Amino acid sequence: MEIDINIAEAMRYMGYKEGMDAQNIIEDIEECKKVLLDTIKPAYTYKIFDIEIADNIKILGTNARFEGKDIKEHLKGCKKVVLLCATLSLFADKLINRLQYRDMAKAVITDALASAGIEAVCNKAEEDISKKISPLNMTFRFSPGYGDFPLSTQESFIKVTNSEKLIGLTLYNGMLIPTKSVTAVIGLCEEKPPAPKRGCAVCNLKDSCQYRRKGLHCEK
Amino acid sequence: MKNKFQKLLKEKDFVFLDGAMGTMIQAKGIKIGEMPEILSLTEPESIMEIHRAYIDAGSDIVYANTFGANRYKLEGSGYTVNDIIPKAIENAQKAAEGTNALVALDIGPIGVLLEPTGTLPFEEAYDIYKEEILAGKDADIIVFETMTDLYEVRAAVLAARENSDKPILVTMTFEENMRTFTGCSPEAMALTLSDFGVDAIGVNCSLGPDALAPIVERMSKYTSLPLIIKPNAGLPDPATGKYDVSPDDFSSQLLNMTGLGIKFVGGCCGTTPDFIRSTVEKLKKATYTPQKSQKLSAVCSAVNTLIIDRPRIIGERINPTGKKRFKQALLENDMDYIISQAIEQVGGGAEILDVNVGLPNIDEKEMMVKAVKAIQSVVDVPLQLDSTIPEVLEAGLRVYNGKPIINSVNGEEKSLETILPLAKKYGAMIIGLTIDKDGIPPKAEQRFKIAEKIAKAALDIGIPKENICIDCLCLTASAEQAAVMETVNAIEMVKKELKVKTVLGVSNISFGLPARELINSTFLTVAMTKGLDLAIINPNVASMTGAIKAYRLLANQDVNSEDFIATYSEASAPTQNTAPQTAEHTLSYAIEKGMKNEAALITEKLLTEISAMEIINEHIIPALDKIGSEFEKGKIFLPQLILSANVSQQAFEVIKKELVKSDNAPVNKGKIVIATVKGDVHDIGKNIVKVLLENYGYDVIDLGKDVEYQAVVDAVKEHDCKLVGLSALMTTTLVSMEKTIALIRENGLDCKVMVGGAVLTEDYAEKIGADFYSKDAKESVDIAKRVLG
Repeated sequence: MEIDINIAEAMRYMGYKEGMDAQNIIEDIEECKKVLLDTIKPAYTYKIFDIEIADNIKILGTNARFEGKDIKEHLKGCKKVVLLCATLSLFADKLINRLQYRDMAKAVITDALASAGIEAVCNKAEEDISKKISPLNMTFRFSPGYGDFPLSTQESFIKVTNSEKLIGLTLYNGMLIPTKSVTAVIGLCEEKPPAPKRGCAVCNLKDSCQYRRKGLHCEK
Repeated sequence: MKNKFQKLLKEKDFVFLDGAMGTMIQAKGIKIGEMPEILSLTEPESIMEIHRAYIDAGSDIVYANTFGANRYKLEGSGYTVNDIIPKAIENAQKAAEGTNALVALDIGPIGVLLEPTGTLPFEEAYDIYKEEILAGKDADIIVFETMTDLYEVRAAVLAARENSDKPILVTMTFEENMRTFTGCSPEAMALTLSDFGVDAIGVNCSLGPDALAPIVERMSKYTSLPLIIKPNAGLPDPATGKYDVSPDDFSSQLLNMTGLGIKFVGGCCGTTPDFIRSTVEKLKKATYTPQKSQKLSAVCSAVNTLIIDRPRIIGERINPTGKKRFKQALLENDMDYIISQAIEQVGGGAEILDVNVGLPNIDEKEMMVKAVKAIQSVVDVPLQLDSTIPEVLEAGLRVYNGKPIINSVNGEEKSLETILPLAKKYGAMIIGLTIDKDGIPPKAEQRFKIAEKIAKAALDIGIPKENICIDCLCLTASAEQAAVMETVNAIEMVKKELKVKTVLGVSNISFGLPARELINSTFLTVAMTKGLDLAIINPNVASMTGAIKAYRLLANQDVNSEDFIATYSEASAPTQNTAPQTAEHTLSYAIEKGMKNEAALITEKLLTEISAMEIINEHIIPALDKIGSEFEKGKIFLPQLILSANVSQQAFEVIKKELVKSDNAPVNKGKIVIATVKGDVHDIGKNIVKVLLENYGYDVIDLGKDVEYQAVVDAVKEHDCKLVGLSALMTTTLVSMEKTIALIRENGLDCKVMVGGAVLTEDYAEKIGADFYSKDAKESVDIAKRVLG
C-alpha cells in the first residue's frame, strides 16, 4: 500500500510554528520521510457489523459493546458500523528505536512523521471503504479514548477484526503494538452525517500534543 | 510417539493435515471475537465433529483446539491452560479413535510481542510455552503455527525440546513481501531451524497456495527438512469475510507445488473438509520428491542471511582486550557504548560481529546475554559469540535470534566435550582453533592434525560439515617470522583436504611492528588467495575492508563488481569523507547550528589548547544554554534542540576518550537514574531527556522502559543517586509512576524525584508526590542543575 506523508502536518507535531527558521533541519526531515516510507509496510483491516443502539451499543454477532454518551451521539441514526484497525507496521517502531541510538534528532523527526503517516493510512482506508458501502454515508473516524469512549474498547476492535493475524496489530497492557497504529469506528447511515466537530477530544495526538499542554491549539 | 510419526513419514508420500478450526467453529455460530478454545469444554461434541469431518476427509494429523490456549490469552477467561489443553486433546483423541490419525498439540503465538520491539522477555516466553507443552503431554506431536517472530519460535522450540520428546513441526506466516510481520525471511527461518531439533518446517495462513509457492521455494533452498504447507483459501474480502479460492483450485495449486519438497499438506483460514478431501484426491497421483538441498555454509539474524561463499568480514571491536574505554563500559554496564561499537563496525562494512565480553570481576554470563540482546536490538548482522566458558556461550546461544557462530572450541578433549554439544544443540556454526594442551604447533601439518581431530569430533556428534570452520591461528611476525607462512599453508591444507570453512584473526600478525596496516592487509590478501573464508578484522580500517572487497572483485565473486562500485564510486562514498579536514568554526557555533561533522574535530583541536573541563564549562554548556533558551522562547523547535545536543555529544565522546586515555576520572557532575515506568513502552521522551542531561555532564543511569518499581529503588541505592527521573506517556501508566514514587519514599531514600511525560500536569505531579514536574527535556536539565549543581 502506498501512502504519502504531509510534511507540514508532521512538522506541526514536532512543535514547528510559522516564522521559525527550520533551514538547518529541513533536509533531515525530507530524508527521514523517504527512509520511513521505504521501511514501513502499512496495512489496515476492517469489518462491517449491524448495530443495535439501546443503553449501550451492541455490535451484533459479537460480544462487543460500546459504552459512553459520546459514541452514542456519534453513531446516532446509524444501522451499521465499520470497525477499522490500521498500522504502520512494526518496522516503524524498529526504525524509530534504532534511530534513537544513531541520531536522536532523526528519531524525533521520524516519530512525528510516523504519527502523520498513520493518519494517512486511515484516510486511505476510508477512501477504500467508502467505495464499498455506497450508497450509505460515513461518519468520521471515532477512536477509543476520544471523549468518554473508553480506551479499553480497543480490545474489542483487536478481537473482532482478528487484527493480530491479519495485520500484526496486538494489544499489550492497553497499548497498541506496533505503536503507530489506530483503532477507529466509522458509522454508516442513510442520511449524510453532520460535518465532524474537529477538536482536541477527537484527535489521536491529544495525549502527546505539545500545544495542548501549553493550553494552545494547532492550526488544524 | 516418535515411532508413530516416523511410520507415517515412511509409509506415506504425503502427510495430510487438517483444515481450519476457526472457520468451522464460526460456521457453527460462535460469536466473533470469542475464544474458540473454550468450546473444548463447553461444546466438546461440536469440536469432535469437526475433527471427525477432517479425519473422514483424509487428514492424517488433526490439530487439537488449543491454538490460543496460553496463560496470557486466557487471562480473565475464567479458565487455565490446564483446564483447556488436556480436554482439547482428549476431544481430538476421541474423534480419532479407531483411525490412524494422530493428534497434534497446536500452539500459536502468545499474542504479546517479545523484546526488543515488545516487552515480553525471552525467558518468560519460554515459560509460557513450557506450561502449554506440559499440559499437552498426551498429544502425539507438537505444532507451532502462524508464528511471525523467529525469536518467539526459538523460545517455543527450546521449551518443546527440553520438556518433551515429541516430534516438532513449525510453520510461520509470511506476507506478500515475503517477510513476516516482524521482518523474518524464509531463508532465516530455514537456516535457524534446520539444525535446531525440529522435524519439519514450512508456512501457514496469510495467502492461498499459489501465493505461498515462492516463499516455500525460497525456504527449500536453505534446508533439507521436509516442508509443510497449510495455506488459506485465498484472501478474504474484508467486507464479507468470504475467501476467493475454491476447493478444486486449492488442490490443483498444491499439486503444482509438489516438486518443492513438500511433505505435509493441509489448509488454514477459510478451508473446510472439502478442501482437504479434494487435496487428498489430487495428490494421490503425485509422489513426494525431497528438495535438492545445497549444503550451504551460512549464518543469519532473523532479518539478514549471510552465505559464506566468499571472504566475509567479521568485526573484532566488541572485545575488551587492550581497550580501556571498552573495559570501563563493561564495568559500568554501559550497553550504549557497546551498541555504538556495533553500529560503527556495521557502518564500516562488518558482515558479522564478534562479541567478547570477558573481563575479571564481572558476571560474564549475564553480560553476554545483555550484550547479545542489546546488539541484536540495533543491528541486523549475524553475531559470533566469543568465549571459552561453556556456560557463557550457552547463555548467549539461548537468547540469540537466528543462527550464530561459536568462537570457539579447540583440540583439547575437555573443550571438545563441552563446546561441541552446544553447537549441535543450538544448530550454530562452530570455530575450531588449531591449538591443544601443548599450545600452537609450529608446523602447518601439525595444525592440520588438530583441525582434522576437531572436524572429526564435530561430525561424530552430528554437526554437519558446513557448520564447521577452522582457525589456523597466526602468531606475530615480529616474534615468529618463520611461522607466518605455516599459518597460510595450514589454511590451504584445511580447505583442500577437510573441505570446511576457515577463519583467521588477522590483526595480531603485525604486533610490535611499524606500519601495521600495511602488514595486516598484505597478510590478509595472501590468506584469501589460499582460501580464507572469514577474516576477523577491524572493519573501521578502510584498507582492511578494502582488501576484502577488492579481492572479491578480482576473484570474480562480486559479480559485475556491484558491491565494490557501490562502496567506492564517488557518489556513494561514505559521508565522513566529506567532513571538513579543518575546524573552521568555534565549538559553540557548531553546536548552535547543529553542524554534525565539525564538532569532533574542533574538540580535538581545543583539547591541545585547554582542559576538558574548560571545554565543557566554557564552550559546550553556554552553547547549550543559549539554544535551550531559544527553544523556550519558541524560536526553534524540538528537532533543532536535539540536533544541537547531538553535536555536543560528539564533542563529549572525544573528551571521554581523551580522559580515559590519560587515566583521568570521567566527567561527572552527579548521577541521575532515569526510567520509563512499568507498563509503558513509549520511551522516546525519556531518551531525549537522557541526551540532554548527558550533554551537561551528568552520569545518566538509564533503566530503560517498562521498569519495575523495585528496579528503580535498587538502582538509586546502588548508585547512591540524589535525583531520579520518571517518564510515563499514557494515562494508564501514571499509576505506575505513583507507585514507583511511593516505593522510593517507603524505602526512605534521600533522593529527589522529577517526573515528566505527555499526559502529566504539574498538579498531578504534585499529587503523586513528585518533587519536580519537568514540562520538557530542557526543564529536566534546569532541575538537575538545582539538585546536583
